[in-house]
Amino acid sequence: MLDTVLQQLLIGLTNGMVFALVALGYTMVYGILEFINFAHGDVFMLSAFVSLTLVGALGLNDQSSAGALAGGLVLCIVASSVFGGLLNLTIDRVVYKPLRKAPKLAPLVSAIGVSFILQNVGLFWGGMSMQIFGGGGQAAAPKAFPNLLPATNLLGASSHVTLQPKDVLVIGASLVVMSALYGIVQFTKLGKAMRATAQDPSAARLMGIDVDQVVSATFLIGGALGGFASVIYSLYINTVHYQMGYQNGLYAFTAAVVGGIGNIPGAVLGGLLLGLVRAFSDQFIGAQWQPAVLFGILIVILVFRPAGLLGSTAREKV
Amino acid sequence: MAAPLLNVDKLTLRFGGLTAVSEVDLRVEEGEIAAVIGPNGAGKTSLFNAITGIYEPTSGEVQLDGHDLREPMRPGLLLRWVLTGLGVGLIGLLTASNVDSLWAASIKSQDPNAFSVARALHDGAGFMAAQPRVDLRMGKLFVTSFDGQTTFAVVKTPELAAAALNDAEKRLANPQTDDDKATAARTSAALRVRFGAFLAGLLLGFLAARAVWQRTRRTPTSVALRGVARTFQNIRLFHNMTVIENVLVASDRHLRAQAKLSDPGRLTAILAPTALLGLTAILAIVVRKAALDAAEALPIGILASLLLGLLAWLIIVKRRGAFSGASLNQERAARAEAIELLKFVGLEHRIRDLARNLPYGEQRRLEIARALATRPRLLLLDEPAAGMNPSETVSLMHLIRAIRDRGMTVLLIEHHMRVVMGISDRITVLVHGKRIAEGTPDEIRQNPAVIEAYLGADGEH
Repeated sequence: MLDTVLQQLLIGLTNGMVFALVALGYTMVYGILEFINFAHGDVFMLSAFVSLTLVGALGLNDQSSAGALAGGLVLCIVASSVFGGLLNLTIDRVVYKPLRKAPKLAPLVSAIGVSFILQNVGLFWGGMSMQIFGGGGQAAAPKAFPNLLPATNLLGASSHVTLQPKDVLVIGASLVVMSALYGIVQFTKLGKAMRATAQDPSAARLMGIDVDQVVSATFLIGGALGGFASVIYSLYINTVHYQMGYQNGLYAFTAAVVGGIGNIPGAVLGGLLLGLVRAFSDQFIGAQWQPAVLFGILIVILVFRPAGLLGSTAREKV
Repeated sequence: MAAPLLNVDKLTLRFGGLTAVSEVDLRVEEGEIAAVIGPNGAGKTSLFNAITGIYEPTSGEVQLDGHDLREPMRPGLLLRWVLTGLGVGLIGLLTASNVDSLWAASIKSQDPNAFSVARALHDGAGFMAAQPRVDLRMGKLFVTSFDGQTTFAVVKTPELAAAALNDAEKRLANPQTDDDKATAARTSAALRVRFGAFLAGLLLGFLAARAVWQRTRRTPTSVALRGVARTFQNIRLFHNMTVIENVLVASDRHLRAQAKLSDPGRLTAILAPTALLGLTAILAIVVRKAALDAAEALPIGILASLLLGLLAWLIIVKRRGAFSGASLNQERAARAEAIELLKFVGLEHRIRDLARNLPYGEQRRLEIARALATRPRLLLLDEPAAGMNPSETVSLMHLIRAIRDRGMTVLLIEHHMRVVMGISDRITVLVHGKRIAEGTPDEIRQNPAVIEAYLGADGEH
């Protein structure tokens, strides 16, 4: 029993880390613009395709040498993060920025549109095959992402709890990235400007803060976190699919809301909570009940804390 | 006489049919304390908002020391406009060339499952250049001209289609039959249209981006950076930040302005991304080699990864100033300056408290300290004494005088007549958006128009 609990705890934590990383992208943008970037999940998906393409171009597979795998992993993380950040930044510049002064629904609907566009780019990227025209479904099929890390159990083959190197990587790397984000937001000039803009954009402008630049930086960082999460996710799940952004984006968005949207520690907390609830409900209630349990708990939390776990109840707006 | 520090010339601000400010002139000399008074709704705060760039004046000028407060032109903007132009031009090009067939363009390759960026670019370029293309219809591959009007061949496999395509391109490059000549003519006509659409888009995008910038040159940010700071009638601190953070947010703007290219922080900011890019490229080559010949490249791979990590650590932890182009020394100096400012307004004992936990009077002082941290030449105070008790009001008056003695010019809006009459050198009276009087406190006190506006029309005060 203890083994099972420990095992589910581990699965929940690793899944939760991915949700948390993606949720950070939603919550940071919301914190500053009060706008939900529905395309964020699809930025996550396309970043995974970047890694997949890179792995193919480098010729990596399960049989590659350890040095090549380690280097390849670093390259994937760098490439996906940079791509995710730049893509998110471009989307903001091209689509959302012209709508900054429009009613809130306009950028929201545009974000949904961008999400569809990116999904179709993913479909295109995921294999531009003859069968699209002939009616086959190959392009839409999940693509295998090679297992770049050995599937050995670090706790010994006899242990009932499986702790693989990739679990360590997911948890360790996520913690490093989240601490770096915390450092940036708390201590740097950019971080202070971000927090100031989130609280009162027009007062921030009058203090000489270039709000447009702050927004760009937010999209860049959020996208990079999504790109980073996509590598981790691909390594963990070992498949890449053009709809993975939609599904995981929805979960991550839920995590951000549960934690209190706009609140950075809240997004991490919400992500971990979501991962753990998923894991334990799969084990003790049944996988078919997973969404019901998950969203049931979400409703209960929001009934008692409408602003989320760490959200403040009412934001003062002038 | 030298130009006044602030010169507001015939400023008019209209919201639809409502004229909030009408042809107001206002001059504030360097080193004086000036006040704007007037009954509620006289347009005082609107005037402040127009000066600080929150509102764009309907007409009239605002000048600080003889310069308008617009963002200056810089080369980076030109690049931005060109990029916008290129983007719009690309959209024009895609529109002119029927985007749908871009999909078909991809079929030309031998192995449809292996996507590569280089191939996509090549196919995309071929499609834009109106080269022959392949369509799949009813299980067969039709090799046609770019517009589908001429069919060159009908084949079964992608390999044959690719060969037929090459053949068709050769035929069009050197047309022999009338049919081929007509197709070639259509192709060149289409190319002209596409090129024209691209150019038109480029021009349109460039001009539109330039026009947007021209219209939004005077923003609150540009005004603040050029030496005008303000406080608000209803306090607008960053409530969830600590007292010192509120001040640092404002003084941070000077970090970058001060940093020179030779500063280590600035240098890191330029070198670090370059080095990161170079290392990444080296790592990519090593990994590719290791993956190919399966030779043990473990040491090199680990070394390169470690170097990358070290560099990231250097950037993020050791030189977090790299993001701002400023060094840690400058950040320390900014902190010292912030503490000095907080001492000046009498808040040094609260630097670690959250701004929202301060009592009302201290929040007002913090707002003044935050405004001072932008190092303004002109400080605008919007009803600084509102809601203060008599003793707080007296110490506020001392504070405003002390600010002037630090070499700053102060312009305030105030209802408290004791404050206005006690500290102002000159007073401007606004009623219904118009300036009805201007002068020293004594002159204003005796001005019949002012007395009528205050006592006759409103009856308050």
